[in-house]
Amino acid sequence: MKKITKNLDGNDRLLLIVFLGLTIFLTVTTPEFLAFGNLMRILQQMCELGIVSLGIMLVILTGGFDMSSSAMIGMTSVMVGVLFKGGLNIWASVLISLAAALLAGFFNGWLVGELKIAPMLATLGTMTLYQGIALALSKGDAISGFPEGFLMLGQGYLAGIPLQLFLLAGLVILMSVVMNKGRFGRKVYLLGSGPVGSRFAGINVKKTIILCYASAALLAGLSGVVVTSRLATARADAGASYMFEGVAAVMLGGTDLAGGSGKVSGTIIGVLVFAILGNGLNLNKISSLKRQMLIGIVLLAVLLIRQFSGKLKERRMISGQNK
Amino acid sequence: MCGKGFEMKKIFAKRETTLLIAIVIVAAITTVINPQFLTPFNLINIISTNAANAIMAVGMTAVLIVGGIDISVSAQLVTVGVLAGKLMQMQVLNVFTMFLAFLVIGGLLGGINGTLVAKTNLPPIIVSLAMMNIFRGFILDWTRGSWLMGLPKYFLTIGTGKWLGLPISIYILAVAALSMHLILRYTKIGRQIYAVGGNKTAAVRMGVSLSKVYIFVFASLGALTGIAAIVYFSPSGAILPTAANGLEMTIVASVVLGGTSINGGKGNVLSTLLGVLLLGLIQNALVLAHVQAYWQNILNGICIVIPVIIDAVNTKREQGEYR
Amino acid sequence: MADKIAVQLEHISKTFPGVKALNDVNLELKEGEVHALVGENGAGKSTLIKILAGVYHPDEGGKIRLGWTKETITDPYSAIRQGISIIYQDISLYPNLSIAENICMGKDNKRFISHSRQEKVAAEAMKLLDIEIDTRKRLEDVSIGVQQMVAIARAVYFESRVIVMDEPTASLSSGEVDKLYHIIEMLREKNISILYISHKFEEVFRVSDRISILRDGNYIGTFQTKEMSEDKLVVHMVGRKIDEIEEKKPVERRVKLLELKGYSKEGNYADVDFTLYKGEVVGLTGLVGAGRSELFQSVFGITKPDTGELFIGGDKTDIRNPQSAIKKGLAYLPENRLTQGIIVKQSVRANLTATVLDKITGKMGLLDKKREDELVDEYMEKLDIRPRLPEMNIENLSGGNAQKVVVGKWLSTDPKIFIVDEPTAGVDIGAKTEIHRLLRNLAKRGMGVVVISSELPEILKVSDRIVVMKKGRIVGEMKAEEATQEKILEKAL
Repeated sequence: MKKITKNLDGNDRLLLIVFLGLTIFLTVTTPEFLAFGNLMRILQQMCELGIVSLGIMLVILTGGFDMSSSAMIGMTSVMVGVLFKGGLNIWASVLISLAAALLAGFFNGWLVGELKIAPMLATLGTMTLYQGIALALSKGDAISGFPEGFLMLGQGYLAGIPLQLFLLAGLVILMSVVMNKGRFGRKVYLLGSGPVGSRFAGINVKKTIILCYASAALLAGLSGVVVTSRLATARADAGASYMFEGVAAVMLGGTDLAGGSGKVSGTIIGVLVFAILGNGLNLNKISSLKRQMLIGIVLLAVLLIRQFSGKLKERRMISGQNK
Repeated sequence: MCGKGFEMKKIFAKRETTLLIAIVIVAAITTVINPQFLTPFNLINIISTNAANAIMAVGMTAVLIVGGIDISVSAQLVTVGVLAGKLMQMQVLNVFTMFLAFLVIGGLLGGINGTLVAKTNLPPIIVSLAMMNIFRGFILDWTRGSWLMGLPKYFLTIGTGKWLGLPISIYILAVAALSMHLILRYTKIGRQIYAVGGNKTAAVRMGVSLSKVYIFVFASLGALTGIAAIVYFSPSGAILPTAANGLEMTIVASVVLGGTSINGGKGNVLSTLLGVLLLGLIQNALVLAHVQAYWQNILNGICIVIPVIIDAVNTKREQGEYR
Repeated sequence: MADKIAVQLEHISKTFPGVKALNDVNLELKEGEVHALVGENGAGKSTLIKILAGVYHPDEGGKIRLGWTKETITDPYSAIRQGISIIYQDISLYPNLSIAENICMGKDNKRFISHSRQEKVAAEAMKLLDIEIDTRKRLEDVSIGVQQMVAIARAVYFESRVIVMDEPTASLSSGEVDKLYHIIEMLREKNISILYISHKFEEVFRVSDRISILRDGNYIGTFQTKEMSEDKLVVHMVGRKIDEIEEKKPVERRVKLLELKGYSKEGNYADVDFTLYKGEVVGLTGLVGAGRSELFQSVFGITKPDTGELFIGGDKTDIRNPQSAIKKGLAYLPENRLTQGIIVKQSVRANLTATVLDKITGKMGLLDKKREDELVDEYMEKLDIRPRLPEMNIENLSGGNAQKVVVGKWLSTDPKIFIVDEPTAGVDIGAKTEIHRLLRNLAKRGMGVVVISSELPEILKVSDRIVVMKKGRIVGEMKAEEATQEKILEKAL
């Protein structure tokens, strides 16, 4: 046991304790929690958040921030609906909507990477813009009546396992490989730690940043497609809470808001914690409205703990620099 | 070195001038489309329907000047509304203590954000994002979304009442805007707000207390949001816990449109008011031109993105960087 | 000159984790004197200023006595209240506020502000310095020189007894420098003490009454300026006789590696013609702000020149970003190690290979771990980077070793042209010598090396040819064997 804890840093340990504590608590208090069906439900519900969180993490690793993820989910969802209602084949609609999300992501990246606009501000603006596009396209209505085949994606099971879990698993593996072993991942970590140093070292900072925002948008778009399929409705406010929950999960997973450090595994555990939390509240018939508040509190608490435990270290660094 | 040409350039560079020109153009176009626009009734109506927004925007100006942002304002608006509304239902307030209650509760909510920003290194956007969810979750969970009705007469009068032919809300806005204008321009703390926004290091070297300044601006925004809640809810005669979703974006958009720099240091109350007015006029014009309300968000997004892009392109040109 | 003591610093030490920045420094400042403080980079000058400013507290046992009051300095604000003003190199004012507001900020402690009174007060303060200006102007709309004057006017308005000027002429034009000298003279007459920090000997000898020297955090001594010579000062600052220049064989200047024709960038450098030959080390020197780094950052594709032609190996080319510069065989070791050189928070390994990611990428965009290991091992060995722990966070390395990592990451790109900008700033003596030897060896093996440095002994030691810049222009060129510090300074000043 000692060996295991030794290999984990402070945050991983904290995360593991929260995760285990929550699981044990729910197992003891809520018998249905450990049922296979329920566990699969948790996994099914975490997929959408998981997919979008991967993108949110990628952007935060560059030292940036993407406020527009939820808007991107809503926009993709509505586009799928509108295009399909317009008579297009459902899969063509999905592809076109994803392409639109990608384009919107490139726009975000262009604002941040090329024009050097503060990421929060840039994506705050585009978030409002994309939300507006989603609303204007849907006129505030929900669109339904999707074909069976499309609904399978969000509702179907294969060997008892929800289909979208395969998608998430595939993305997690892909992302882990790219971030840990790929040249692109190395560039992201480097430029997140020191954008100036990276630029001087000949890393194409702009291009990498733009690609990160674009990938994040594509992931949000994918998440939007899955939501639409699971709920069998396309709405402008689909996944409205995912930006915030995603940021919270990424933070919980130990990613540094300043950029340059963070792991895919941490993010996924962060997402899992929130999924279990939501499920536990559900099973215990606690209003899901508390969930929003709880996540807010968890996020602040985690950040504060990390801040104060990191403060000493930081102070040392600053005084060292001022020498 | 700087003759008349310089002065002329200076005048045209002023944001207020640009805004006034824009306002005149929008007004002229709208009058042509719909002559009803240029009636005193419509003009007063535009101002009074935007009064609550303007009051919050005035508070947001100070927050942006120090280089912060608070996207929890709309959540604060409903939280103050519900809390003070409960007090009013308990019949413990009169018209004066009502104002005080809204002001103080708002100030306290804003103060929480300010304290968190001041005492930690967390970015204001993350703090206010978390607080937004906590406030919203708390209020929705508590009220279950049901309206607060049966409010006292003095509260309702504010929304419907007139004095000297003008809606009362306009007087409230005038007092709020004037107070903030005087604080920013003629007081020590006002000067410190600009100082922190202009050069944080220098301000610290000169002994300005950052915490004091941060807490002051966030608490002022909260207090003004409290006052705005009166103006916002009294016309409808009820307090809606689900109201004002996404209103924070309209607020930020109008302040940024008014020329306040999101990076801090620049901005003033007058240009913010002009920004609110311009945005309000465009909205009104869209209504008069029978454009659907769903386009509102696109408009907000454009109002944030376009000025920011123009700013960024200008800075980039000045710095003379590659590509 | 009055002989009353204004400030007495006693036994000031300052320890940061792992570094002793100041070690038992004693310094006295008399009323109405201009006291120069000199020392190499990293000698502890800025730490000492920050202690005087109340930003840092000295270690236990250190005392700051002020001649006119029993109060002492506890924090930045108390320092200002006691009458100590610091004019930082970065000026440290508010660009977004008017001149009047900048001057009155912090002093005008009334709760309410009268703009007309502030403008009047500020105008008077500026007038004391013989400057007539509309004090309603925003600070960012006036020149750096005027901004500096505003900072001084502010200090005077605050009734400061002591004004510390940190490299005050770094960004001034020569007219403005004369103005500054004039103002310093006026301040001296008002019995204000000035602590004048500068790298530039000419200024130090021109303005100061006495000179104090710091070296590696130690106080070396205080001398009457009249009794001091530049040579002696250098010896005191560096702490040893300047090393003998190793035997240099004359270089055959045949193959042009790099050639600049008419390089200009407004406000940075102008009309630069420059040639670098195969196998030579060119030392590029001049005062801080002479445009040396700016010039070569343009060559390396970081900033854009307004006009000019660039030839590499005789071919006219265009470099628009560091990536293409690297491809064309250029390497640039930047001036600021902490922000530009190393990539903080990352491992030594990641830093060493940041420049050659493409080279160590195998199939499908994945990094070839084996090739990376080989490369990392090779350079850690070759440059003797200690400790030999590639996974260690680079911030935990000493300055010298961190710099070797930066050198290593550039050598691994196999450059033909190596530009090093202040390669030994903040590097200990041992590593310094190693880096010098390395640069000579690289040239011997056919590389072209440009060494940008303010440190004249370094320039003399490593260069085959010395180029001097002044205010963005090349003002002199000499062979190393003919060069002396005096000759260089003569051109640079």
